[in-house]
Amino acid sequence: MNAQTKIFERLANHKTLLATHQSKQKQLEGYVSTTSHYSTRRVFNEISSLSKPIIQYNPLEVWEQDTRSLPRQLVKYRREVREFSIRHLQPLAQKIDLAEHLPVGVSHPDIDKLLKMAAKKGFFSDMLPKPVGSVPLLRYRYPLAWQQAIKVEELARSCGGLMLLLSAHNLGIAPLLMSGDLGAARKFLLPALKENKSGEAHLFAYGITEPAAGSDVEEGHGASLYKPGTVAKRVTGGWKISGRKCFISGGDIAKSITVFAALEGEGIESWTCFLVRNNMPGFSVVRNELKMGMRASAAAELELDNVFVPDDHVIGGLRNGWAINRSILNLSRLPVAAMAVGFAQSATDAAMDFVCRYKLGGKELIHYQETQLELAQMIADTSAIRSLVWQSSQSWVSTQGKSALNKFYCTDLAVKVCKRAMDMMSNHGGLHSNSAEKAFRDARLTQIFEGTNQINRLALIEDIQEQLVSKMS
Amino acid sequence: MFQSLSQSDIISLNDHVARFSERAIAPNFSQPETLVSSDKIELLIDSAFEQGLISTECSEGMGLWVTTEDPLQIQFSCQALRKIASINPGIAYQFHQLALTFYLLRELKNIRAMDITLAGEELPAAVLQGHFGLARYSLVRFLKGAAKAKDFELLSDYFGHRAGQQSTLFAHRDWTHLLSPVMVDHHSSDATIQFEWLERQNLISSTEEHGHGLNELGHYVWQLSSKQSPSNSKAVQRSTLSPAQSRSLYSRVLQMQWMGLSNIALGSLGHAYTLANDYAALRVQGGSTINQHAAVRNLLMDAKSAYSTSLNLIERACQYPIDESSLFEIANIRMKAHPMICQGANQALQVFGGMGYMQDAGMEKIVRDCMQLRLMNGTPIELSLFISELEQCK
Repeated sequence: MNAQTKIFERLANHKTLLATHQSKQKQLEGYVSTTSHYSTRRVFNEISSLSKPIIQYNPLEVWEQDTRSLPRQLVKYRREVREFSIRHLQPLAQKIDLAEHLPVGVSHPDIDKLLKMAAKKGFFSDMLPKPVGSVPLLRYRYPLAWQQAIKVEELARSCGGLMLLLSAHNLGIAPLLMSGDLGAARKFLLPALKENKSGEAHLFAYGITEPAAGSDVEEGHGASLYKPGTVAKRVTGGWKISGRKCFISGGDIAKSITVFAALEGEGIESWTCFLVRNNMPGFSVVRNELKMGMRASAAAELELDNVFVPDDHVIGGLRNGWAINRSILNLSRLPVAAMAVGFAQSATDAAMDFVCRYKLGGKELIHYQETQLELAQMIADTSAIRSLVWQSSQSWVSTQGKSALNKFYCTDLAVKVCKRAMDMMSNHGGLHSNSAEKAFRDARLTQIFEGTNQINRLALIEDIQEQLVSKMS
Repeated sequence: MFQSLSQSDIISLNDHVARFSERAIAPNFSQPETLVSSDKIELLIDSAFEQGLISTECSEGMGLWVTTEDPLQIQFSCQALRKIASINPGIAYQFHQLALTFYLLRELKNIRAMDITLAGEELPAAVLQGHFGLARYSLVRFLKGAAKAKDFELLSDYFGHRAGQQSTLFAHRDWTHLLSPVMVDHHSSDATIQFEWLERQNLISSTEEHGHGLNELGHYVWQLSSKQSPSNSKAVQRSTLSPAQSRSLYSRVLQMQWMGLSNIALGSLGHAYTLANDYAALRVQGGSTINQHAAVRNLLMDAKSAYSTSLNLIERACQYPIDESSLFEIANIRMKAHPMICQGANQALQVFGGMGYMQDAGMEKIVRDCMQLRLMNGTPIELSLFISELEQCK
């Protein structure tokens, strides 16, 4: 698209929105009309043409304005994901959230269908460029963290549970990518990506959390004192792993699980990543948790009872698991922040729809100033956290401090935005059909997983430890 | 007639409520992830009647919300609701709502404004709120006798319960009648809030499959059907309150509702704090129990401080009768205390980490219930408008 075409497209959008606006001939109470001498819509048009390039009214919606601020390849990607999300996630969101809690091994038919579509769309192979993965080469110029942030935000905007269902897989394959173990990647990742691209979902899950260790597997000091619960014992030709992993996102439907286990007799410093298949003898999904939100995606408890794992299923070498895990957390916390942006946007959308539709005293709620103040705050908060995530994800290297601060700051603010949306809907805020309460329940998990927000605050301090120590007298 | 209570009465009544809560209520709610059946809730309601906790008459002096004149009785109602809510906020709300409904019915009867006799199987519910919020400035202006034509117009819409204005209600699934306010004669100077006795079978109501909280009860969205619309007012029993009586009664029951909601939320926060504190003393991370970490201590203290501060505010209000002069203080408590309570419950959940997000830990339900209670009869935004107008009306 050349510059002239872009200008024409912009003018067309401007005219369309202006026409729509004028045709309704409505205005909010307490504001001048768009034709008033005091309206920027009118006076900006009358200003010198020399000033116009820097003094303009932008009639586009915030989403469109934000999208157009992205590089071209990412503009395209954001639109694609948005379309998929609206078409395939939105219609399912409320239904799946209310669906009965199914026993292990039974899945909802709509979920199976969605997984196949997502696989075909390339969502389960979008960590690698074509032809191995599904990312167009030109888009691969931009960091994966940025691409994933765009994707998970748009999916989360429709439904937290379905977003997690489609996103946890990337966390599962991350050890194969981050370990630099080409042999393991060739052996395990490539066939899975091939299956996914053909529409047969081959999902991975990431297994670190143990019943007695949540935060301890997320930070060094705790890890150094923790006695591992999942242990790998040396046997001929491989390892026998025993232990339990809990709260594993997508662990119930994953065919492959990257399980972190300590070597027998050693601490977490010996952590090693093993590729475990769900059909290996001794492996079982004990249960799926009943959760507050994100109900479309299971948090599974996995049992490993002397599961034999051959030597060639070790990923990244023995005793490198801790390093792999920490590097993955640096990568995965940014998408969690992006999820939070999606939930904040979802709550803002729901509140905006509600206050423009619902009437009190014969007037839509949006006419009342107290409503406008709340809505403005929600838009600003959502916009601020999106800017932070986009700015932070423009590097191929995700540092611990940056990703941790994104995670705790964005998720805390997103939960506030969701609460604000519920308050704006007043006694209707608790109704499931109005969506804000679901966004709140979904968003609440982001303050907990990938390290609680307290652990993430400490992770930021750990990352600037040298700087702080140098200031000590 | 109501018999006044002494401090020793309060102590023994609280013991009685504590025993009833632990022995009769608690066993039903030992698994937070499992929804208690409607039948069990009904049995608990029957037990509450038998124990005198909910009373159609006011002679015993030990029921919830028997009077608004005796501070000790108000104190008892608040303490009892907190205790029951510490076990389950949904059942506490059901008891509170029934007690409030019977208070309203008694008062209406006493001032000869309405005489309702319930048949054996009939279960009433009351709703005080119009279809959205607190009607901005108009409700408070009415309560202060300062309403103008545009306020009556807005209140007529607020209490209209017509198509497109979906009112919400939490009640036991077998409720049969609804006592609901309505603005009458809104074009004249005699404009007044009256109460209507509506039959459920003549209302259009639907149950939300999933309310945010208080899941033990039905969460209803309802509106008037043509049979009970204002144009067909002969079919509906309506009170005959004078404007002054209406202001006085509505003001009192609104404050009772706020006190009820705040105390129920506070009771559940107290429980959340206890659970979090106990968990933090057992759970080991970073080489020690988590209550040794400042991060967890901060969370625990947020919850504890929210509890103590809210309790102090409530106890101060309990020293006086509930009447038109207590409106500011009780509205203010609700506005300030409830967000603190929600935040405290949220922090208590965080102490549990991933476990807190799971239904079987019980923490996420407390957070949802507190949020749900916050949304009823005025959120902090609406209470802020309400209080500001109360000041303007001075």
